[in-house]
Amino acid sequence: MPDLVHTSVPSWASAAAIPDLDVEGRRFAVFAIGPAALELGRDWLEALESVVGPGRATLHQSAGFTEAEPVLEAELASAAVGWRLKLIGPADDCLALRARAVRAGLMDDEIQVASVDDRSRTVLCSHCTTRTTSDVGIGETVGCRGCGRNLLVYHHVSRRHGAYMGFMSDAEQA
Amino acid sequence: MDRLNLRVLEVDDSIPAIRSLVLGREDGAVLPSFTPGSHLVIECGPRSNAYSLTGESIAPTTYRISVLRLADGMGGSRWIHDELVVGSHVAASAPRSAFAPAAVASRHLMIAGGVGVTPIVSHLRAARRWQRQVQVLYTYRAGFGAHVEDLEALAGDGLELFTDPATFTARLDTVLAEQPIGTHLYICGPAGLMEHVCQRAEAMGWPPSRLHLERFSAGALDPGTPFEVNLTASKRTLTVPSGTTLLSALQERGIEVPNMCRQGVCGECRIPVSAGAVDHRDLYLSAREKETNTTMMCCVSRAAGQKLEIPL
Repeated sequence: MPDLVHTSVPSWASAAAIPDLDVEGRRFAVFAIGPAALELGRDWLEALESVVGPGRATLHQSAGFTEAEPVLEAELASAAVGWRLKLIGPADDCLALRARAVRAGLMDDEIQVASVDDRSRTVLCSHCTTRTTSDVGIGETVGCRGCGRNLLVYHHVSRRHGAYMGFMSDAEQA
Repeated sequence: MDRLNLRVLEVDDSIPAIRSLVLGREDGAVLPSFTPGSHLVIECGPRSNAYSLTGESIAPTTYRISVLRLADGMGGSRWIHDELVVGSHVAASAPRSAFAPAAVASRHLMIAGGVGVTPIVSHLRAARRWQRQVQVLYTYRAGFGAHVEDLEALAGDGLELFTDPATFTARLDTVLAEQPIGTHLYICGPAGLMEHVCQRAEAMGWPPSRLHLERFSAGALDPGTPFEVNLTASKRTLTVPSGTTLLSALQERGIEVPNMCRQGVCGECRIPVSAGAVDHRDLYLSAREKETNTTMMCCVSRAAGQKLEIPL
């Protein structure tokens, strides 16, 4: 496997990482996903409000991607340029939410991610396009829950799908 | 660089101080297509100047440019205004793209000042073809508005014209504050206008990735202090005096460096740096490239300290 720095896998997706808060921006939405993210979410909200004033930053708590997604979509629909997205939570949920934001036109310098858990990964099957989520490392294999193929979790993340690329690991033998 | 031999087909002097030219090949053959926002580098007598293309970009048979006459410039625009007539021969580069529309944008906000409107015209032609959402703010001196009719035809309701700077400044703040996410901003105009728009956009939280700038002149630079250069490949040292550029100093010693604009804009004269800190004064390299301190534009940039080491 190459050095992941030279791949499409963000550093925060391969290992849990909390960056220094970037306060550039006019309005902010902080998404805290899962219980482990809440404390940092409150810290970031407080820090952002101290810079831009109360009411210009919002904290959204949710249990996971499914709950956070519609809230993010509503924010994106009304956001004006100057808005920044902060994602705190398991790397897998953050990748999926980042994909929604990227598809809405958000740029990399408008999104900041703090990943608090890097165990789980979602793999997009190159053969049947089913998404499989499980505790699996990059370079390991996982059974596709769509077609049953044994998928290699490749060191490539699709920004728009928010998932790792998976392909049949033993295609040459089978 | 591919060189094109063109002929002046039409001259339009209807706007004071601005001359619009239609150029084409002798035989009327198709010219290279170009990315919207591209420019031609034209050999204007002793100078080479870059001018944005304003016409159709796909398989064109003509190239269109508009040139502001700078009475106290370096002579390139005067040459175009004073020397060229219909039928004159003009040598030019193939189109070069340095101000392309962002493919990921869902909406395009364009700010043009004066003759800086020229690349915006070609952006708008493409925007219309691809049905892109556009908004244009064009500020100019009353009576000197180039391409107003083109903009009206291409941008429709998305166009706002300003001849009063105060009205423009007030409107700019409102417009910058209300752009939906996904909008990219394009700015072309005099240095002062570009600086003002960038500064207001930054104050409203616009990230660098959404700003696209087309600069056509660098501000005046101070002459700088003398410094020493160690040329490691040719095993020579030279001193660059105050008021002399590193590019001229290298050329005087017979070291050829490709160059064109000689004002830190075009990117031709990039050279490697192996040691010593650089005082970057160009508009070409990105902030990240400048930080690496391994390359410099020798037409305007100098040593930050006393010495530079260059592997030439």
